Amino acid sequence: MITHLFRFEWMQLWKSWSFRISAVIIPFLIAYSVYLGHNRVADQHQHVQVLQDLEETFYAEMAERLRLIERGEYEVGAWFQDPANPIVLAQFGDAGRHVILHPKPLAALAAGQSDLFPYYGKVTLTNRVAMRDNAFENPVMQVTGQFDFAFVLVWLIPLFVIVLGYDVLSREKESGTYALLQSQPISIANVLLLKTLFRFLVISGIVIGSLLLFGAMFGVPLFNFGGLQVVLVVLLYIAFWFSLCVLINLYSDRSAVNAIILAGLWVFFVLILPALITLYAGKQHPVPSRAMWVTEQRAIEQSVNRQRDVLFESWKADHPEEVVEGDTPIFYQAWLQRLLTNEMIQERIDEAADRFNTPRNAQAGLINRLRLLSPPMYLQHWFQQTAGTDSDRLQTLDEQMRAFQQEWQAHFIPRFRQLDFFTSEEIQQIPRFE
Amino acid sequence: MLKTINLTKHFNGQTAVNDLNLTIASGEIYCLLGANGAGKTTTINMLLNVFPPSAGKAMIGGMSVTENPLETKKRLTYIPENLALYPNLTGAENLRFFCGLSGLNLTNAQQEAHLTEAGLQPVAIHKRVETYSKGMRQKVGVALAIARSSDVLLLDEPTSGLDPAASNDFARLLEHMKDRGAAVLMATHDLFRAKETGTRIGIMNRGKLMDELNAADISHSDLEQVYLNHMKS
Repeated sequence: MITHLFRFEWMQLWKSWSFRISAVIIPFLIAYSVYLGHNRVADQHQHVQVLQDLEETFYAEMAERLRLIERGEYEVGAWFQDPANPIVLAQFGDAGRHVILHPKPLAALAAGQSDLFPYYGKVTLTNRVAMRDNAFENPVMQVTGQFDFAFVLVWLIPLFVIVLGYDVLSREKESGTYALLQSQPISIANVLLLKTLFRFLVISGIVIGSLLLFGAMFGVPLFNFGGLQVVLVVLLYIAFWFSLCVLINLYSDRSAVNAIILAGLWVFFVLILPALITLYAGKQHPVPSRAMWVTEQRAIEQSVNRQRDVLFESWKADHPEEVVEGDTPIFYQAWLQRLLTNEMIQERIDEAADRFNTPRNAQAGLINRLRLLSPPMYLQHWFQQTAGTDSDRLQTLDEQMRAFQQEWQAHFIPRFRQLDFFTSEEIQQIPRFE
Repeated sequence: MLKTINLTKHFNGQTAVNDLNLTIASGEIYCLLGANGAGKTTTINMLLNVFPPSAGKAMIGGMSVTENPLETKKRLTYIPENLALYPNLTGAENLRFFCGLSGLNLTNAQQEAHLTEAGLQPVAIHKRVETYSKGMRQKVGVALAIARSSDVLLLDEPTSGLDPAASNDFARLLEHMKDRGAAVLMATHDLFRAKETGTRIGIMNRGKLMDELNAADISHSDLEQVYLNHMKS
């Protein structure tokens, strides 16, 4: 019976234009989204490679120059050209390390917040600068956002499900075939269940088949546990929309009404509910504006800079063992003071940041809980997490840069304070971000 | 073959069918006449177990339709006033689909044979049903009854809207089904067709069976007079 019903449902579907058009458009949309995702990730990999190559080249050249100096074959003209100087190695020119959030294996499936948050940054002794490689962005892209598989699945696939499911029962009633079906020696509920199940399997098959095919073509690793999770989530999401179709069909016999109700539900779940959740969370936990935060940071910098001479003298008095007294190079005192001032500014900014981060984290936590109310919103977030492009992960860049900067400073600053210069061998062992 | 015992149906306090007792034997065409709202379609719907009776019993082949809905449906074919088939399938495909629902797998040759026996032109068999006239769709319904060797045919105004030639064709098909031993219950407004085709004629008014006549024993004009008398009462 199942085979019989499936066979005839397939004949019916195949002869309907709405299905034929869907069967062409869905694979096209998925192919295009996976292709764009693949390009986006490939660009990231390429950019990261360029950065790492630049870094390697810079320190190789420093080591080589230092070897020449050590052999007496080269002489530096000024202190800031001396590759043995910790300040030169850790701060000047191309010195420093890049902290990079490498794309996750399934990054091609969801651009997520990667167009808002940077995925790498440069760390030196005094600076942590997060950067993106798409500073010259097409403004139209900024408006429309990234076209990715998560967008196709979360926003567009429900529309195709609605097109194929809005009249799964009402069409039978409107056309009169329901009366004939009722007179057949089979439970009408079974017939409708199997018809819906078949449509669900066909749509899911097209979506998953296209994803696996184009994923394989564009090098997205889906034949693994992560891929299995994606497949299960796709099935659940399509099942959710088909369930809504069946539910509406059980209560309304008119296809046009069903189509309008389902379109309304799409608007509600995909657009209105996420907007309401965001508004509510913003109202519950208002976050101070970014402009206020920048202004506050500047105020802290100015405040510390005004007192830097006093603070510096006081620190030196407290830490005599950490500095070299007597005849020191010209750059020594100035850099000693600059590093200390920078450290103090950073400490105070970190303290102040809590006031901004606490409400932001509370807001994010509330949104995370309320997200469960909207399957599209939840799924969008799930894809971002799976792809590693969610704001939580991207915001860890700052923490990782901070942690690495501490390691970087611990490696260079004590030696600078003691004027303990590097050898060419030691350049090979300066910290790397792992 | 088909029997109703004190069959009664109430809807929101209104009686749609009142204490109906019918017996239709194999090889008999029973025409149920009555105005709109007389209870003809409600009777057929109870025989199809679309809804249960408020009281009494509907039986097909000796089985209660409410207690054995699937078994009784295997033995009947229902042709409504507007037989709706799947428009984007052909007549043959529709026949195969509905036969398949009762576990009957037809070969292509069988499909064509049944549809031809039901009077469908061979050229129409593999055309989409959306191009069919009402008469052609009714013929697919009859082909379904032939294919399934149905013991019972339930027809709800099957000739309404058909032109005289198509109506006559349909009457001959009913004769054919009768000869095959089917018990036919046909609800209709068409007194002429009832007299010409029916073995027995029942007249319903306000849910009650007012009269039962042998078609052979009454003329067209007398039937009309009896019918009108019952409608006035």
